[in-house]
Amino acid sequence: MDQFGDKLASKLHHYSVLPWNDVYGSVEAAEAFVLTNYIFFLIISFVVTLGFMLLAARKLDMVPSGIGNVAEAGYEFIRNMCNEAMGKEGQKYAPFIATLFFFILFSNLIGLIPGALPGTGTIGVTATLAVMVFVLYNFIGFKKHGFIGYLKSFVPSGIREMGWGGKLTLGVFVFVLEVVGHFLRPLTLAVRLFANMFAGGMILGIFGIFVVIGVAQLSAGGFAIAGLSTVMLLIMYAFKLFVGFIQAYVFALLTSVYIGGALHADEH
Amino acid sequence: MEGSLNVLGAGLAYGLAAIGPGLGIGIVGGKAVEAMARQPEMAGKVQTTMFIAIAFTEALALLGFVLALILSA
Amino acid sequence: MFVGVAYAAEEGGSAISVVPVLSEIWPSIIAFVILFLLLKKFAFGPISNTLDKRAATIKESLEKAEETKVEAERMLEEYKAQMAEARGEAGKVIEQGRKVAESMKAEIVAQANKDAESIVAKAHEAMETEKKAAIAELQASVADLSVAVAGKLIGEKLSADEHARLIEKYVAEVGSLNDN
Repeated sequence: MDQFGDKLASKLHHYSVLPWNDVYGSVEAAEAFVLTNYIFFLIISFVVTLGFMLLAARKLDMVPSGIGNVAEAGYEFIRNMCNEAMGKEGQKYAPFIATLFFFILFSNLIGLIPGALPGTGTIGVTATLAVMVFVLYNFIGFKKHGFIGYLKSFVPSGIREMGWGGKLTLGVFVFVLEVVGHFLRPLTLAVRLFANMFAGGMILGIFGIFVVIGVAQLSAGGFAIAGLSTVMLLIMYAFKLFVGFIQAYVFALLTSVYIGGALHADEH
Repeated sequence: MEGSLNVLGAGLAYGLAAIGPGLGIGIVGGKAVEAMARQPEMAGKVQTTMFIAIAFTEALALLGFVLALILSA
Repeated sequence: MFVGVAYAAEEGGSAISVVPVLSEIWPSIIAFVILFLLLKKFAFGPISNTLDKRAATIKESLEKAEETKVEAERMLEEYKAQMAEARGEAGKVIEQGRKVAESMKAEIVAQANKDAESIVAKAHEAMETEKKAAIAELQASVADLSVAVAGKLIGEKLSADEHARLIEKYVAEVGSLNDN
């Protein structure tokens, strides 16, 4: 047990760049307070997101232009998405989903800068966001339909109208499946974002290492490998840019769909 | 020995878990393109639905990914 | 402790954790909550307002444009109607003028005819009287001349009675000539 703890502490230390992390002597303190690289870049993303949006909010005008226009277009996009997924009721959750979207988007994009990491490339961050979404949408569901009403809505109305036999067999079965499905939602939300960002970074890193190794060989084959890897690196770079946008969009879309499902739980 | 079996299991877990969702996402994407080509005015709605469907299909592969990570620990 | 941390490579590789580490959870929560509160108040609120205001402005201007268009169309219709009316009026005026002119022409022609007729009639009358005067004069002079001629030809052989008879006879002949 202690051995594992030491290992963890050394690993955390390994992937943290900042000097003051040495302050924490104990494993527990390291586990709780070490500033990991991902969190470091997450904080940078936080500052960039905040700065960008506040700057954009100051540049608002009736005639859209520049940075304000970008922020407006993004926000309108999210608002329309909310409208579509949740209806009129969903309008008030638009700021929440827009925050998620922009935060994740800027984290993903900052991960594209060579040497930087995406803040969303670690399960700790994505799981936190996903669990927040899970808690929020279930809270909304319970608040709107009542405790029993929301749980009842897990079972389709067709089964609810059956006799007791059907209710006890099929109903319980479907209910258990639904509950498992609901618990899978935050898991998949978290792992999807984490895996995409992490794997993207890994692939870029691997091709980057290939380039360095190839050039260091100082041979024709080495240069060929380096050249090919550079091309692949550029292609993957473009792909990762695309993935960064798509994953932020998917996270926001699924959040709005889940909240919409909780809001309209009684309609199916 | 046990560790290498773990890694093998992890590889198999992710590889096998990716087959179904891979096919599924292909079908979803293909059908979405078909739908968009047939009704270009509904493209936005089809795209949204496609992303949701892909997200649900993807869940299985993601579970495999998590399992692989746990197994290879 | 559950095997919570998985390593991509046992030695020296970066750690991949499938179970979140505490040191990553609380900073994300704090960062997200602060970001949400600040952005909601200072960014998304104003952006939302601007979007709504712009939508309202655009809707208003579209409505105004529609109104203006309708008004313009109405005015055009009105002008067209006025134009048609004016054209009709002008036609009527011309028609009336033509009628007046025609009637005047007819009147003038009639007057002219009447005048001409009266002139002709007067001329006839004058001619008649002159003719009568001329005939009377002629008769007188013929009687005198014939008496003188007869006197010269016949001399003193004719009596006063026979004179008178002859004269009568010639006068009657001349008169019957005149009658023709």
